[in-house]
Amino acid sequence: MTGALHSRRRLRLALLVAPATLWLVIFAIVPLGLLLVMSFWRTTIFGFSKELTLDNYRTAFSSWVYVSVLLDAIKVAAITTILTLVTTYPVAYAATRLRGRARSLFLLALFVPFWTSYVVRTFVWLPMLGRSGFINSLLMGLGIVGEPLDGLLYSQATVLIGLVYVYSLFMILPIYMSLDRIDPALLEAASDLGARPARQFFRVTLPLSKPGMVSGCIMVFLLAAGAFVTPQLLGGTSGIMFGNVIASQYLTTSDWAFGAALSIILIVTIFLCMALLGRGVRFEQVFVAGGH
Amino acid sequence: MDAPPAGEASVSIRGVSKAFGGARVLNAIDLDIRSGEFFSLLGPSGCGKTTLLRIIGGFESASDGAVLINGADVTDLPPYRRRTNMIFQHFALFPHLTVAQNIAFGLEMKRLDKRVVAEKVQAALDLVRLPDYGPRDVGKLSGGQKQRVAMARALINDPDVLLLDEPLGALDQRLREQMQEELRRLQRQTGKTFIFVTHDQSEAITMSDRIAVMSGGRLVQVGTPREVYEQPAERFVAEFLGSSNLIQGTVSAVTGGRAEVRVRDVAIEGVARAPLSPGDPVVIGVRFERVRLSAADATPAALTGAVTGCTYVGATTRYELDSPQLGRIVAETPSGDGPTFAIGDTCRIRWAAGDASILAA
Amino acid sequence: MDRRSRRSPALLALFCYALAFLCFLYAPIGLLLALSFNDSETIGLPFKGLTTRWYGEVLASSEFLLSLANSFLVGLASSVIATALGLTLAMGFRSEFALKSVIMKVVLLPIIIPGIVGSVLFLTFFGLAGIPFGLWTTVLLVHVTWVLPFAFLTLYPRLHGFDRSIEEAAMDLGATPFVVFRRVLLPIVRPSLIATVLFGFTLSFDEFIRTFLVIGANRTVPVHLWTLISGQMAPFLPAVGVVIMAVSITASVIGLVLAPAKQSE
Repeated sequence: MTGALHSRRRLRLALLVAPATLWLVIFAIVPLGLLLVMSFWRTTIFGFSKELTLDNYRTAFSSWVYVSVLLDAIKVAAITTILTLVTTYPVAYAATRLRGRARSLFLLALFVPFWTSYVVRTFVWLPMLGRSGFINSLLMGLGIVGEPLDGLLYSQATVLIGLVYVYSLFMILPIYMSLDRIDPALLEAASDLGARPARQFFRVTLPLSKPGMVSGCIMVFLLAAGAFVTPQLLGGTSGIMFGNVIASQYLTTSDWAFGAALSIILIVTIFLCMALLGRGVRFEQVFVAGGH
Repeated sequence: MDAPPAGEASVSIRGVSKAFGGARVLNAIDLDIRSGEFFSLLGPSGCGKTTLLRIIGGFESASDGAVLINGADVTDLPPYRRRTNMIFQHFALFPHLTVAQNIAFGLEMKRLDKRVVAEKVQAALDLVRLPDYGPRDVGKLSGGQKQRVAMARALINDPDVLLLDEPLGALDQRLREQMQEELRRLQRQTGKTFIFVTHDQSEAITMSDRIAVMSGGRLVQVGTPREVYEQPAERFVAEFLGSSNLIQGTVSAVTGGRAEVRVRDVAIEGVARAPLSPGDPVVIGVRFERVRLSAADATPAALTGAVTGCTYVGATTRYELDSPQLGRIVAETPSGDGPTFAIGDTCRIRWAAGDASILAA
Repeated sequence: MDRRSRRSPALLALFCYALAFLCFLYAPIGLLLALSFNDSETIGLPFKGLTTRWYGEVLASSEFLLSLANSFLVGLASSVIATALGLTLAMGFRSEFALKSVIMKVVLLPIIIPGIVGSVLFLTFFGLAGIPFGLWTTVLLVHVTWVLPFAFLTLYPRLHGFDRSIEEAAMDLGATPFVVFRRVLLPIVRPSLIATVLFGFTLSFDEFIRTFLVIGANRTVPVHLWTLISGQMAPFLPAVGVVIMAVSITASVIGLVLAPAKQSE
């Protein structure tokens, strides 16, 4: 009797878990395995040579071009992460200092721009920074420059601005959530023990918001390191990132096997960086916080 | 309420009021708390006791009035400028710091020398009997240990006044009793003024030197535990502390501190707790355990009652009686000695005249 | 509560900074909105007068309308499928079982893999498997895979936080597991489900990079926008951007309006 009940329960559990798990195995694990295998193949004019070889990796690491673009991508992602952290922390903190309706409205105002595609969010910077864009018109109108500046667009700095703009919510949200979770009694306790407001912030608020900062940094780093759209639209040739190099293997040279190897290199590099950055972090929490 | 001798007041509350939005939570409170005293603010939730404590600590600002600590006006000082320390309801230990770092926090804010801090932290840990707990993680402590750490963290700053906001509320019954003793010990050992907020009357009675009973944002009565328990000034106090029979009647005569009250057909004498005059409607408060029962005899005009219920409570037995003179009466007698009664028995009901408090209705 | 610090200049500076950040967020969007009404053949300033003709052009473009319809349908379909998968998984996750932590990591895979790699992944897989590229083949599969983790991660805490004794009480009163699901669980999670479907819809509607390489000859809205940007900078582009924003923001607003019902539980 209890045995039958038990096995019925197990069957029900299996039926609940199986569909999504199977889906993920077929459409996430199998393709990933396939990509890994393909990275050891070689693209030929007839298709693929399916002999396993390290040629692709050798090519990638023997040419300074790929290594430097990879290092650049990591560097840009790291700078983006730090820049986003520094510029948005005060924004998240400001939200927690507002009460009631004002806070809801402020949060809503932060959300709305992120309710649209990152293609659009990147695209909006073209009219801002272009030759006849807003900034150039402003500078010329104020008489600061006589001719429109070309360098506003298509540089690494432009890519950085774009990346911070496109991904800032992924930093604000987890930081806001961990700030909001701090028990106000802890700040009262700090005040009670003689800490002035500034020291309350640095000794209590800041350390207690660390989980949010780590979540946000992981999210932004992850997104920025694999960026394709933003460098493609705003970077020009000087702002190109590793994601664009990968894409070009498919869009222009059609060297899928080499593209697979570059993809694997990118994934491994990102995961290594994240392992360093987020030791002891439970990743599902990172995304539960970031996903809303 | 007798004023403390001048210069001995540790905390003086002068006409403090507080309003949140339109609601008045504190109404012109005047109170002097003596130096070195264990003082309790007692009352039901919402009576304003926590707000008053938070005003003393500087966490809330008074809408009106002034707070003096050791004679100095601190009304406008933030918490970090006051020589008070607080034990928060859930202790508010810093989760990102160790036990020792938590305790050292206040000294660190004063930028004391590291070696001095370490010594003082160890002394504080010894004081609360957790000598080896310094390096531990705060999150892994039990409720009682957290309580001790919170005490050490506050006392290490050598405050003039220690404020305790229902610190035992989060603990289970056994631990509560242990910590009550522990708090008393710490208070005697340090000689500090403790202001203790609680809604638990037995806790307040067993621990305090003096108690202020609060209700609806005002002070109802201030006195020693014995005074507030045995000489309640108002009906509210008689009901809130312990359990009392409340018998309604009308004052028929007043002589000195005593009054005679007519209840139905009988006259009952008691101690007047408020200025009374004949004709005033009053209640007579008699504590359950002060009612004495004996077998009915032939005494004329004796108060009697028929037992309608009997509950064995352990140390005591509680009888419910229906009295033709008084209505429903409850008596709590020690179990084990004296006569026992069964349902349906008729008893004689008595109490000492000093145990009957005549209170404004 | 803390009147003293609320008036402090530090806090004032903080709020000023927050306001400046909002300007940073909204300036490009405001400019786009202004330019979408600019009566000029080139995108940019100066402002040459007010016109709605770009919206007219956009809304009359069959290519754009087709991509809008494609995005809408594929967004709805993939979101509903992913929510159903996410819901069943979240229901299963309320019990303890051996592979739970492994599955949890697998669920995160589609999010953790960078977009461009995710896109290459599917290109390789569908290419080798010989699945023809198109909206209702590859794109649908890709979008379900993309939305599934978010759907699961949104629903899991809701189901996890929900009092199991309600269900047990229903079982105790004689309800079968299916009846418990339909009569007890479903009504309670319905607001969350609707919000999740809408959230999933916006994720799918806005997705570009994972779609781009496997879409074949079809067009979704972001892909259409991308080809427009990559091609000639047509003067109606700002209007396209505004229309796309309006659609995704509307979906999100509906989700937000439905959200309070979810929180009141």
